[in-house]
This record gives sequence, C-alpha cells and structure tokens, in this order.
Amino acid sequence: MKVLLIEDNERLAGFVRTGLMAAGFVLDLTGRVDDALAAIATARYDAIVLDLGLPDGDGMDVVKAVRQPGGATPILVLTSRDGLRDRVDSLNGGADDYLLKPFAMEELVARLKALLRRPGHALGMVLTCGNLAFDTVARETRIDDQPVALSRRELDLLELLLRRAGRVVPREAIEDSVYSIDDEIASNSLEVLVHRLRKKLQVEKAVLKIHTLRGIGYLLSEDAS
Amino acid sequence: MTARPAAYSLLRRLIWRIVAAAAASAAVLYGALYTQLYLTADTLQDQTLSAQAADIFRHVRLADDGALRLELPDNLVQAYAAPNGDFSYQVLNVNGKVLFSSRDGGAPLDEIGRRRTGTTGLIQIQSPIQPRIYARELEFDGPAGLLRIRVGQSQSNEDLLSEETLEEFSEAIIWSVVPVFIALALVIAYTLRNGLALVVEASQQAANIGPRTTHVRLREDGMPMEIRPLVHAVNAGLDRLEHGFRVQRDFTADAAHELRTPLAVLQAHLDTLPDQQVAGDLGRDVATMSRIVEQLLRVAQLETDALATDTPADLHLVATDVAAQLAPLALRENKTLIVSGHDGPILVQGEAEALHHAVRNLVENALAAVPPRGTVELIAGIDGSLHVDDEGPGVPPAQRSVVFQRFWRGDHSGGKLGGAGLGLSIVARIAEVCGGTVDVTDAPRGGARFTLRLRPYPAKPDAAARNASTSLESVSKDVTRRTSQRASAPQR
Repeated sequence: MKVLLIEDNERLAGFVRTGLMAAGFVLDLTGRVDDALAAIATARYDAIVLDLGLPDGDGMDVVKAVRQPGGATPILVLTSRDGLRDRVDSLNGGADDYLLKPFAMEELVARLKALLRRPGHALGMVLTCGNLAFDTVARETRIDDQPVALSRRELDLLELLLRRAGRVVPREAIEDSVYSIDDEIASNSLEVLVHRLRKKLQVEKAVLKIHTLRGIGYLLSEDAS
Repeated sequence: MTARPAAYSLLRRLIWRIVAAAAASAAVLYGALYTQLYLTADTLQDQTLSAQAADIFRHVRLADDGALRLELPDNLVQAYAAPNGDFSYQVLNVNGKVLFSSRDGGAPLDEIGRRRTGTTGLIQIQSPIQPRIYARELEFDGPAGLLRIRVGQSQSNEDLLSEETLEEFSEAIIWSVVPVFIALALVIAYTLRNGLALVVEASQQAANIGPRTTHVRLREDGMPMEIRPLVHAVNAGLDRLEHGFRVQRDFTADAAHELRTPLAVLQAHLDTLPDQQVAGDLGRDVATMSRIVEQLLRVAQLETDALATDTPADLHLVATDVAAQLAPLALRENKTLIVSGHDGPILVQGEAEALHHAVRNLVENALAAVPPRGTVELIAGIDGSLHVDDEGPGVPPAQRSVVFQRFWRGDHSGGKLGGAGLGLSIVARIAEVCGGTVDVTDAPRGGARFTLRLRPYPAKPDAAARNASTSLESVSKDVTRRTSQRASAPQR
C-alpha cells in the first residue's frame, strides 16, 4: 500500500516514515504543497497523510485538489491546530480523519488501516482480523482458511465490525445497515444477532472478540487473551 | 473619586428646563405688558385732568377791584354742574383757602396724601368720602399770583369697563400662551427623540458586540456632532480590543504548533525505537506532557475563542461519541464504559465540540479514578443533564467546591492520568460559557458523580428572556471578577 506523507518537519517525517514502513506501508515523502500536488498528479496513492501547516501554503489546498471529481483517495489530516472548529472544518473540507499531534504511531497505523478498509479502498476487498478473513466480493468468511457458514445479516454485521476493527461501531449505524426500513426490529433483535455471531465465531475458534458497550455500540478486536 | 449624579433622562430634563424658562420669561413679559398698559391709562387721565385745570386757570380773572373772579363759559359750568357729579374743581390760594368750588355739596377734594407722579408736576389727591374720585392738584403762577387748582373726576363706569377689558385682555394672553407652550414642548420632545434615536440604535449595535463579533463597529454617519466624538472613541477602543484579541488568538495558535511539534517528534521517535520497554515508560511521560500542553492550550482558547452558545447540540450524541472514542482505552484497561438514561436526541444550548471536550475530560477523569474491572456510567437526562458516575474513591464534601478550580489536583489524578489540574476547571468554564453548571456529588453505587447541567434548546421564550438578562449579568460579574483577580495577581 502506497502512502503519500506530506509533512514539513523533517525529523517527524523521518520517524513517521520508519513507523509506517514497519507497519507494511510504502512511503513517498514531501514537505511542500506544490511538491505534493505534483506527486498526486503523477502517481497513484492508496492514502494521503497530510500536515495542515506547510511552509508554502495550507494543507487544505491539497485536500481540495485531491477531492476533484473522482478523487476518493482517503486523506488523514495530522495537525497541531485544535481550535474548536478546526476538526469540523477539515472534515467538512473533505478530509476523512483527523489526528492531533502528538500521536501514537499505533493510533496512526490503526486509523490509516481503518480508512483503507473502507469499501473500494486498498484493504476493502479482503478484511482480516486475527485468524479470520472476510472476502467482501465473494461474501465468504474463513477462519484459519476454513469456510464458515454465516447468515446474510451475520455477514453484514461482521463486515461492518471488521471495517472498523478496534473502534466502536455505534448501535444505530449497525441497525441502519443490517436491517432495511421494512424490517421489524424488536428491541433485542441486534443483541440476538450479535449473540448468534459470537457463538458461531467461538465454535470455529476465531481469535477475535466482539465487545458489547452498553448504550454505545459494539467493538471488534483481536482476542489477545 | 467624585460622586457622579444618578442616571437621569436628558429628554425629560431638557423639556422641563426649557418649558420652565419659557414660562418664567412669559410671566415677566406679561407683567411688564400689564404694568405698561396701566401706566399708559393713568397718564392719559393725568393729561385730561391737567388740561381741565389749565382750562379753569385761563378763566380766572383779576378784577379791577383787585378781587379774583372765576368766569367759566356756560358749557363748562354745565359740565361741572352735572347731576351725577362726575367732575369737580376747587381753586385755592397759596394759603390753602378755597376761593372757588364747582358746587356746594360737591365732594371736597381734601388731600389725604400727596405724591408726585411722573414729571408733569401733578399731585395726586384722594378724597376720604368718595374714594373713587381721582383728582389732581396743579399750581399756576399767573397775574393773580400763585394759585392751586384741584380737579377731580369720579371713576365712572366707563373707566371700570376699560379696566375690566384690560383684565380680560391679560387673561386672554395667558390662554393663548398655554398652547404655544405645549407646541414648544412637543417640538422639543420630537427633535430630541429624533436625535437620540441614533444613540439608542448605537447602544443596540454595541450590545451585539461580543468575542465572536469583534469586527462590528458603531455607525458614525448620521450621528449628531455632539455624540460623534464618543462613538468615534468607542470604535477606536474596539479597534484596539480586536487587535488584542487577534494577538492573543494568534499567540495561542502559534504556541499550540510550537509546543506540539516537538512532542510529536519525541513521541514518533519513541514509537520507532527498537526497545519498546524503555519507549513505553518514556511514552507515558510524553503522554503526560502532551496532556498538560493540551489543557493549557484549551484554557487559553476558552479565554480567547468565543463559543457559539445559541446553537443546539445533541447531548446524547456528544455522550455516545465521547464514550465511543474512549471505549477502546477502557477495554484496554479492563474497565467498563456504559451510556444509559434517555436514548435519543437531547438538544441543549452549546457548541458540540466544546461540550465534547467537557464530557471527555469528565469521562477521562472517571476512568482514571475507577480500579480495574470498575465501571464508568454516563447517564443522560432529557432535561439536559449528564451524570458521569465512577466507582472510585469519590470526592470528599470538603473538596467539592474546590475541585473545579484551576490547578487543583486530587489524590488519584496525579497517577496514571497525569495532568496540570486543569481538566475540571475547563469543564466548569465550558459549562459556564454554555449557560450551564457542573457539580460533584456521591454516585449511588459509591464513587463520584459529576453532573453537567445544560439549558434545553430551544429555550422557553420567557426563560430565554430571563436567561438573557442573567447571562448579561453573569458576563459583567465575570468581567468584574476577572478584573479583580488580575488586579490582585501581582500580590500573590
């Protein structure tokens, strides 16, 4: 996966490159808006990591350039600005995620992967977590390379949780995408569905866990224990 | 300091004074006119009497035998002998002896007092019997020696009539003056009100100037010349304030960048070190430092960045967002995070981003306070309240009033979640700016319960009006408090 890192602080850029390369990314590095625009025009990137304060302009100019019609490359904004409206402004401006400096490398990698797991992006085809692999095209689940039979709704739920692995998926978001408007949703439908999926994954010895966060949503993570 | 007079209405004061001055001058004018009219009437009478006296004197003859004779023509004799006795005369010699008189039984013109009137040499005499006789004595020096001639005229009905006319005339003047006064007062009131309307408008413009609208200026065009310097000075003051605000904001933004970049370099360096054991320890120190920097910058921002507090924010969404954001951290530490209470939108007044920071601070504190396997519960109420309950040691009653002060640090907050003791003061400040409150009590299951109470949106109309006035009050109180704090700061 090829990532364009636009960061004018050379030391920070160097460490981030080391960190991202260790996580399996291929990096191109630039510290200027015009260089970044030139790079975007000539190469194809799976994601862009962008610092907003650049010496020759505003990082948001890069976001605008990328968001020309057809431009869907995920953009993660790194910034030291955290005015109350900066986050909203950059997300409204077309950025996909926003990370405030200083940040943990682990967090940056997790967020980048989450962006890439979105449908249509580099990691969006086969979603993996622990020993589980989910082919979003064939809609097929394998644990330790053995196929697992799951119902349509269980697959929908698993896909959603896998795309946002390590992060909370709000209850409403799941209900919206798993059930259609016509479906009768009982108050405990989702609980029952999650319970069934959990059971099946457990039976197949999947090394992952679906956490229930009461009143908040669900979170899928690799089971460390 | 000299005592300043209490506030008064310029309009009322001006109208009152101008009308009083006009009334006083009208009274003086009226008095002068009245006196002049009477004086003129008296003078006319004096002239008539003088002419009559002179007429009588012309007919006094010195006879051959040396005696004095009065030979009045018939018409005069008849005039003085008229039955109603309107006119009478006496001719006296130097010794005061009456030589001739108009008729027997005619009213004697004994003098009861003399005073010189005017410059004509007339002497006024009043008769004791008939007070209505108006008489004059004149001295003549002729061939018959010095003679005094007194002429009297009883004040006839006609004279009274003319006096009454004079009175009526004066009264009519009074009644015609009153409407003039009213018209004058109305013109003054209208002119002043018109002129002051611009001042009222300027006050409304000034009332709308706040930290979010530092660019607004009062309109100077159309202002009366007398008020323009004040408006101009206010605008100049606003220019300086806006500049100060901008400098402060720029400083905060620059400070944020300058402080965070080296921390980011340090953190990234640690994260890429081969020895993750050491890196982990150092990383926690960097995290503590980052948190302090974040809190300090947040405080600076809250002082310079104005929040939109008239916009709606969904408190339930804010609570679930914060919980979703912090849930991975809670799971890592084997703690449970729950959101309960009203499960649906709760619209409150405030800016979602600011409320997010406030709630995040409360939940971070709660997570730091609970032991492993402990629970932090967020309970949202439809009334715009949010409880954050933990299962930690709680806050002793004695400390409950001070935990929201800056740089206060509890026993547990210095540990894993290091900070500068600013978190709760930030929460309190955000709550205050949004028109809400925050307090701490005991949670039902032990531990602390922090409660954020915000105003429902939309506010009820009457409540809104009341809130508007209290918020203005609290703003001014706040300014006073901050000013006094600043004033006392060097003493610490």
